[in-house]
Amino acid sequence: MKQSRATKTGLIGVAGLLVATVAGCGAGGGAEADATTLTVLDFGGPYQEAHEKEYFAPCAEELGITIKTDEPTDLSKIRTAVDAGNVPWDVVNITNDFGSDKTGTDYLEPIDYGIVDKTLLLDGYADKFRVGSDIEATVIAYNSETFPTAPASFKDFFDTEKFPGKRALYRSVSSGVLEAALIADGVAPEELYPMDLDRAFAKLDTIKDDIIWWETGASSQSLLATGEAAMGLVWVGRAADAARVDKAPIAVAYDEWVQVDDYWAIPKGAKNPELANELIQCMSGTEKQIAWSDLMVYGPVNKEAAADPKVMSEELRPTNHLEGQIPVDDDYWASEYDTIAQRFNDWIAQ
Amino acid sequence: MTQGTTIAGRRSSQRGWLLFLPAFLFFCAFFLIPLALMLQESLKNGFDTYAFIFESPVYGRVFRNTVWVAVITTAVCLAIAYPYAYTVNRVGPRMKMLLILLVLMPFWVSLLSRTFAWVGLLQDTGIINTYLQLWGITDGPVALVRTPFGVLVGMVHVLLPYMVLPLMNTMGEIDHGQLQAARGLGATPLQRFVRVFLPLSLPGIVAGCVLVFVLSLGFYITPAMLGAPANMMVGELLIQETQKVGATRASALGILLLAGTLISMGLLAAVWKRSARRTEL
Repeated sequence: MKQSRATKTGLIGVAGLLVATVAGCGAGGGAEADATTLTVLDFGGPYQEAHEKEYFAPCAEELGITIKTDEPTDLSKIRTAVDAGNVPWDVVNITNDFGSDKTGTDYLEPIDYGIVDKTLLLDGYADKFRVGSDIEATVIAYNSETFPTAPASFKDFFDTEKFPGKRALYRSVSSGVLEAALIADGVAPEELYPMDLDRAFAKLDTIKDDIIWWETGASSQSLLATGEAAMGLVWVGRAADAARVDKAPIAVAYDEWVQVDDYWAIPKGAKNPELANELIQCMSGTEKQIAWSDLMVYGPVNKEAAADPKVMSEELRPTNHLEGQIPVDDDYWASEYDTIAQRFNDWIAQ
Repeated sequence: MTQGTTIAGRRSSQRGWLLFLPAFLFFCAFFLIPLALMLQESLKNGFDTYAFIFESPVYGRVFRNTVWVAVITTAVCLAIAYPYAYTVNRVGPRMKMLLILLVLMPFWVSLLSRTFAWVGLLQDTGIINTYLQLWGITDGPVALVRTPFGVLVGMVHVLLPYMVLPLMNTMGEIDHGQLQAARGLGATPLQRFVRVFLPLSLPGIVAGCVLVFVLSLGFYITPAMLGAPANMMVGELLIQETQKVGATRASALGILLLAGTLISMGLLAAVWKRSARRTEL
């Protein structure tokens, strides 16, 4: 009896120790910050490799610091880290549905525009809590063998009689799917928000049986390249790779496309915000953005880089087609996201 | 004498407790504590989160679909594995090795590669559909992937070994003397199977079914890649919630899945105990 009580006590002690260790690990992980190391959370893949080569390596040298990387960006990871008050990153690369002026307050530090030079950047890419990293595009990509007459608009994309075949769509509510549906149904781009959700979902219903949902850029590319989908709403970089790397007959319709951008931001509670701002400033430099654009189809946010002849010579670059860009209201999305996502998830599971 | 063995037994069980300690600590650190944290997270907004889940028709459907897929997968696995395990125990040692090897082989290839391979086989432009059209058997592609059928094929393929192995073990231990006795008493082959072999193999059936069923409930990659969103299972829902919505509702869903699994296991155990007592009588 006595012994059993002793063992019980011992056990509780051990369990307590374990809890302490687990908690201790959590607290200790981020505490190792020193003044000369920055950690960047990025999306991984060739995209991040291009950042490493043209931004992180030269900027580390210029600023005399070490830059570590972590991947991939996941908003839930950022939220959890900030909520827990233990943020292991100094700079994060995020998409436009996160951290708008109205909604960045909880999770991001404001950008210090005393350090970051706003005048370098294209309009709309110097926000309160984030600085554009590049301009991407969700475009209509189609199989030019299946469709000798090119589809030119979202209206054509939703017209499965004139353009029969499967449609590859990103299984993410804020990916432009609803915007495309509304435009196809005749809504003017400037009247998209607040969105008429009934109308958007009714339009999506008309092609529901023809939709193949993709969840990673790689799978969108392979759906197009193999011919599994005849048309898709995909990131332009993946359409380009399907055509150039996979040598598939994939073309891009650039008359109407949905805005999608990536941004640099500093998570709330980051250990060294000043240095993080300096890194963002460094990455926004003209020469670096030209060099980065040479590796990617996506467009730079630096004004001069976007107008550079070498950068402009890439026909698929979004910055060459800004007149067709359908702007997305990030504030609307950030505040309505949960409700619309719920409806989208319900609709998709039916 | 009897007393002596009990005391020795108790002593060794006390020492045995030490052997159990590493597993117990591991279990605490990496399961119980995270689980408690998850429970706490799920209750962040009181029971509202749970109320929301119970009121949503979609979550209900996803849960029902998950159970349904798990039941069908278990049934198909059992139907395929039973005769297979039976055969394994009746062939010569060399053939037996080969058959066991065939069952184990899928374990050596990652789940992801196998699922990708199924996509390559089953999709509209995949190998099966290409040949069906080439040989003029069908005009257009047959919908194999992004259907419940696709999910079932993928899941059965992954889970079959979990059914075969316990069945094989149990059948291997069946005393053939009993079957001979039944024959001696004039039982027909069918009677021998139904009244002797089948009940004796029941522990294997139960073990295999529980394993396959419980593992099925948590499947994520296979239904995500081979099914349509309309065939969504809880695993996919969990990922969707964690990545796109937040941890609170995802935690509640996880707790519900675990609770549901434990309750169904408890019920099964109760039924099992009762039927075991009946056979003893």
